[in-house]
Amino acid sequence: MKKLVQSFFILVALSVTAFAQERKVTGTVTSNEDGSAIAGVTVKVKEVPNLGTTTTADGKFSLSVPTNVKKLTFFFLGFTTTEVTITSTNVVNVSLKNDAQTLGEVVVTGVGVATQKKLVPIEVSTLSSKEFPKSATTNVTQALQGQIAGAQIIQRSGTPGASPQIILRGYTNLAGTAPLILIDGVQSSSDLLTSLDPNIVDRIEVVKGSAGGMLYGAQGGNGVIQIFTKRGAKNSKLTIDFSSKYSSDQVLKQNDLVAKMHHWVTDANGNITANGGAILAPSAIGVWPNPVALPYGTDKTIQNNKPILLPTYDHIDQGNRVANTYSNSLNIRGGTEKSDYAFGLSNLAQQDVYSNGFNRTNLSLNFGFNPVKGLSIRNSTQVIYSYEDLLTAGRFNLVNSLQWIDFNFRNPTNGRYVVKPSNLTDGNNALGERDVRTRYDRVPRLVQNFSVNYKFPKFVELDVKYALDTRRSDGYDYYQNQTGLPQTVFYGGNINGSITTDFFDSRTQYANASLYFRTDFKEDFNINLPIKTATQLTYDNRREKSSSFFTTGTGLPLYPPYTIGGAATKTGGDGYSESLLFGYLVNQSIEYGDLVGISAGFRSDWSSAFGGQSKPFTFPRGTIFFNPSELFGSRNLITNWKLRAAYGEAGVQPGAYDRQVTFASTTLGTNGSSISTRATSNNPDLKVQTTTELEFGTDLNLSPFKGNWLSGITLNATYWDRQSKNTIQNAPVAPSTGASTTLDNLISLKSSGLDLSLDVNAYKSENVNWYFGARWARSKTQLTEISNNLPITQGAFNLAPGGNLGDLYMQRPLHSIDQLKPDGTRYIPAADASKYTVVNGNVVNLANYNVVLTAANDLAVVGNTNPDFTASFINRITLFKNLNIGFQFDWIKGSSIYNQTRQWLYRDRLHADFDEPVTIDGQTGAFVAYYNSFYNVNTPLSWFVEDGSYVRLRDVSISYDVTNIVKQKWLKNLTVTLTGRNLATWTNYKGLDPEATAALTNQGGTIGRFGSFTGVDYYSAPNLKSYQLSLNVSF
Amino acid sequence: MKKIIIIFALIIVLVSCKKSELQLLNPTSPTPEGALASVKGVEQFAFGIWNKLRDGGNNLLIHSMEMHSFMGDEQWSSVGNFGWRYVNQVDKITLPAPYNTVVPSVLGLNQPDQLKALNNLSATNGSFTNAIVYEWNMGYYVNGQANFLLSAIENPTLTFPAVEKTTLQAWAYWWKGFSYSRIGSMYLAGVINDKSDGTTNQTYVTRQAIITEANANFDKAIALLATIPAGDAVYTSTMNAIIPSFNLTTPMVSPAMWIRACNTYKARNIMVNKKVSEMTSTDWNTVKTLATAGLIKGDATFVLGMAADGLNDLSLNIQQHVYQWNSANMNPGWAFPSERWIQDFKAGDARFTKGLKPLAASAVEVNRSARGIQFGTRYVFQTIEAGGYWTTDSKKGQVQFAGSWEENSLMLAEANIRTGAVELGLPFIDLVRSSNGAELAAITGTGLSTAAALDELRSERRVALTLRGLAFYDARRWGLTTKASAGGGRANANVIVPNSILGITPAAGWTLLPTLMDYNYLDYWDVPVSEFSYNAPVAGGPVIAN
Repeated sequence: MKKLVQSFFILVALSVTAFAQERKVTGTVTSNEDGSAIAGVTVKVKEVPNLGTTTTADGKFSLSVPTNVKKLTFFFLGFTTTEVTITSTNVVNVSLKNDAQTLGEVVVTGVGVATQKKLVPIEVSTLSSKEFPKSATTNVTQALQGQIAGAQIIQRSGTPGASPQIILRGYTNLAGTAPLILIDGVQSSSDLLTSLDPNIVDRIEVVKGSAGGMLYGAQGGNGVIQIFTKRGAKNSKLTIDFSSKYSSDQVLKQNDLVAKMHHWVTDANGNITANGGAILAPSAIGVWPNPVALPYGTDKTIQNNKPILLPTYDHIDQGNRVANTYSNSLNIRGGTEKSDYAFGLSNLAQQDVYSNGFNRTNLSLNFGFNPVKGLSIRNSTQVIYSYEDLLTAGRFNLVNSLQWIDFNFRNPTNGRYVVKPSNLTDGNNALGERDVRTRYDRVPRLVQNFSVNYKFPKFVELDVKYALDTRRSDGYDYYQNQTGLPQTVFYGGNINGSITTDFFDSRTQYANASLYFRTDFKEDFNINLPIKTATQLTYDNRREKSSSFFTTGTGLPLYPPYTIGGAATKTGGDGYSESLLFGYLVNQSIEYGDLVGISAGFRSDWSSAFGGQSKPFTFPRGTIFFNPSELFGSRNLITNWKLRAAYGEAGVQPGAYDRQVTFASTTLGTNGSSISTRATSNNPDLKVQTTTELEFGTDLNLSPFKGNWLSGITLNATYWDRQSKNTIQNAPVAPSTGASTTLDNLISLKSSGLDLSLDVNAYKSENVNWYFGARWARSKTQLTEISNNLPITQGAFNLAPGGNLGDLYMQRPLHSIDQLKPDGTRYIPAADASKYTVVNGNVVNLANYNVVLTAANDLAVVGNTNPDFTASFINRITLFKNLNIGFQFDWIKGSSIYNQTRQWLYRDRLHADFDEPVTIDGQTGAFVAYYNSFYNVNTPLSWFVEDGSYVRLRDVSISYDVTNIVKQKWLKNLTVTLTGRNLATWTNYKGLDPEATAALTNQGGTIGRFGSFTGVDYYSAPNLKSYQLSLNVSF
Repeated sequence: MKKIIIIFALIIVLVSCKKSELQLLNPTSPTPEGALASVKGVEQFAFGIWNKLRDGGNNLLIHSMEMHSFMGDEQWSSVGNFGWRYVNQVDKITLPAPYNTVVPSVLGLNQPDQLKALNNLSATNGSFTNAIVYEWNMGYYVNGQANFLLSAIENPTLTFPAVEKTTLQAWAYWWKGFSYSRIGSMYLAGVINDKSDGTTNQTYVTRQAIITEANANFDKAIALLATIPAGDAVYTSTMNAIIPSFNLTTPMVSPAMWIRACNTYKARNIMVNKKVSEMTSTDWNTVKTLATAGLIKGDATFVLGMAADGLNDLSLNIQQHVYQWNSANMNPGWAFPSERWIQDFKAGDARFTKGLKPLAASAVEVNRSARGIQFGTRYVFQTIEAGGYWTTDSKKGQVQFAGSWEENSLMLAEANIRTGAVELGLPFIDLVRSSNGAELAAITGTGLSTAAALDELRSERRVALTLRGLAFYDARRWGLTTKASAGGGRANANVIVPNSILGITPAAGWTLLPTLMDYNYLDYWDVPVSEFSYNAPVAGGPVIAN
């Protein structure tokens, strides 16, 4: 090794001596926007074009030039090429101006070795913090929404701290879509995106496919999102940024859900009456008697057309307030000759519109140090403390309730909410829970990265990273002893009250050691070929451990203190899980100039999910790019054109202990534990799930016009095709085996799609700069095979060979009177045809105005929860340099939503639809029998499947840079921003928010391992409409 | 430079992993190898049979008993959850003169067609409305655990105290007998499976063969129990270990009582699986013989109770108990006492006044949710503390799910009455009544005709055996659930009829009328789709669907 290194040194020395060196110029290249160092900038001597160098990771360069040289050029994609005249000084520090149109920065995610975007063979999308929508206040995923073609970021709930569903392209398996999250090169858990302060993020890279993801092993099958935190620049002055934001949030309410009219029995004056004829009125403690129903079941003529003479309340408004969110962030950055530092401190205090709130404090420290030449040491620390005391239950009870119930009424005798204001309210008053329940969860978390990098003068680079992501969650949940109250109904599991404390500890350790070996034939071997090679050898491992325990005390005293110690009965439990994964990666790339490059490699992984005796799973990859534009004589129109293709395989592991046959252990009575066989039996033969992916793409940079308009256009297009095999599902088995399901590699999936992005410098002049971006993506995932060939149904979803993931499968109203059953016979005998009619496309029985439905065993696919395409349109306009306007529209097209909330409201005959007259057999009216017949015992029915397409004004912002007005020496920047998020939505959807859906059963239970994650609206917490004001100060 | 390389090498060594480290075993769950390698572990596994009565948040035994209660018309439920609404979907109700209106099922489908239509995978796993899966699953989940238990007991490396081994084997056979009894008494066909390796077989057998298998397992249990001396300490400690505290009885079920319980169940298996009209005198004599060796007053039997604090029991603190589904505090509106059951109380029965609470006039249930006029009632159950049928938050009460001395007595009464020995039968009815505190005059020696005696018996079975999972068996064998056109149905069945149907005022009112109720229910259910889809029957087997 040593000899080899020495001989390379001699070679290098020889090549260097070929030039007459008379002068040595050194310097640092930084970005003019934030002063950060830029690595990889090409520095060339203007007079001697083949003489030059590139800047190091800290932006430094050193170049020996002949004395007659006067000018250096600095070239870097993404920045304006700058020419600098060198005078007598030998130190040249250059600040490069960002050039938004070329969008050609260096990327590192998914390529192993940091590579200019021009030479990247896979699709890597990048989002710089400068491009973040201004309304992305609370977390990083808000910044990503709509910005990257093919990255669906679905905020399924407006509850603070809720993690979004992230789907990169299609589905690789049925259990989850969470991509691998990296922070500064090391793995972290998937919720980091919602835990970081967006202000510390410098940029984000997204790799959507397996070809790039497989570099990270079995975790990378769903794609990779890497976050780069802001760093200080060496030799830079201390910069202090302070940002303060206020946001006023309110719940999105696209539609009124509940009817304005009613169909109860009334007295002569139109007052709703209770059984016996008295006018409906609440009791002294606020409990309402039941109104008497008209016989809508037997009398088809009954209409929902009577005015409610009682005061009525909008229960969505009663349950949701206008909430305030404050966020403050302080960031300090700077650097000395050998080090750089960045320090951040921020706090987010977010009120929930529903109840209580969420609070997060982030402390970050990023410190880099170069003790000797070539050696860099970096430490990055994130300390995150979050606290939430949210109460989220009871949305069903709030929505499905009679219009005249005042949930805010307090019993005058004790000042409490009425627990159950009516027998016709399902469950209890959601607001009353606050009287008797206190809960919180607090989580301190440490994400610690440490890396050491050494670049030998030539060829070899060593890089070692270690990361620790550890958290301790500590939860508390207290229900008051509720005996002795006016009503015997209560909140929680026991009227005598309970306290549960739970403790969860998790630790993920990640270590990565890489060796890079690079050659440049021209420079290293003096061979006149523009060939560069890079070899990557990486070993990494990931070790996860988690443990938990909980204690519950039930039966609390009626007097303080309320402790588990003072409870009548104590129960508890614990859990422990550990997994280990390690593997190595070999990857080789060869580039011929900027013209063509190929890479190939493989990765082998061992996993504890398969035990110590298992063989590794090996996944190959290969990529190629070709830049035809390199061959063009003129690049006036096409500045760059790249064709690329990539192939990759990746695996998804089963759960840590899914292969081990174990029993369930359950405490029964005071006897202690019982042992029993599991309903879902584990499968010792379980295999890893694999996905192979092929992507083809092109990146095209055009500069059509030299004037103000359309000076630059960038188009990225990628077609991808995936096949997943051995996808794990809970395979149903006959109950006579003693179990109901077994985990099995049951399913094969196939998906393909297209991702398109367009970035346009629409107009650029001295005073106006208009950027326009568009994103468009489509994907469908088809199920090609179920090994036992039997469809599997869960809730409204179905997995069937030939079907698509996200298919909604259900009964339908008959659409024609002569419709046939699956057995080929008529639903309605021909002789009875005259007794039926068709209303709004549905067959209705004239005898009772009931809609006729297909039989319970006659189901069909009636929609798919995945959109036909997702698109977004982004505009950023700068006027007179100081005024910035931005807006972004997100468009989701063709996704179906099963509006379960609406169906439940049909049960109670409360939905706003009941106010809508229909014409049946010449009679027009809001016929209750007609609408109620759609309820269908809450069995999924196509009537409630709606078009969930929407266009949303995701972000609109206007910010003004007042620095020049204030004119203070110490002030670098002062910007005031007004922002709105989710201000407007255009949709035909009848629910509250078409984005807030999940995969749930008709009772709200989560549907797991089904490849469906959205599409059922079961009393979801809608997203928020926010108005924000923010102030950014730099000094 | 050397130093740097050494540092890197050191770091790599520090972070590297060995293959042997991959051997990570689930540290929190017992394994077959670990848990069943000790006598205590096998005991806990025997105890775990109780846990197979539940499937996640559902107590399958309770669901089975609820279905039977609805179909037997002691309670009704109009909710669609679990398919409840469909099992008690009466085909048609004919109102008496002068109305003579026939009120058909609101669904336009009779119960057999509806249940068959819902016996599909989507209703089973999608909307959870396939009512017929719960009892099947309960039977086979329990059977699977019992098979595993029997093989675990045979582990040659284990040394059990002799009585413990016998007790645990009897336990397994008793549960198998119970499971097959439930399956064979409710489904057209079934599978006999003694495997403990998670496999099954495609050889379906008739319901009669399943009952034969059930009885064979009871016989195995009886033979084992017969060897255990009364008052054996090992027996007592074993039973204390395998019966959860909330299901313990005072006195404990002794080997002799247990044997008698097996005989009672065997008698039930004969009686409930034939229509009364099909019962031969030989059948009645067998019932008589078995019941004579069956449970007697004072015997304890296996029961299902609740933990007082609702913790660590099989009611899961979410109404998963027959005494909890209708607790007005917990979950109003799921189940109500039926007017047809209410009318079966003899006048003056103290159990009626103690057991039922009239609803306020404004709260009477009429055609609940417009799902059928059979869904109406004027009463709700009184709490157990007040002598009624429902538990409150105190969670009192234990249900006898596998036979009782009252049931045995009434079987003896019926066998005697139906074989012409009316006066030999009536004392059993009187005994049950007086023990239950009915405060009814004795009927023995009052010269009742056979028909009158049978009516007393019918009434008493309805009242004394309420909520014990027997009502549907009785309705089926007495012919009530047969189509009215084939001689079935119930005449003078009380129904709360909305005035709007009668066309009288006030429109919001109701009238209690004696109607002809044509239930038209399936006698035996089809094999559930979740079974035959994944375990296709071999050709030539018995029919598995009506």
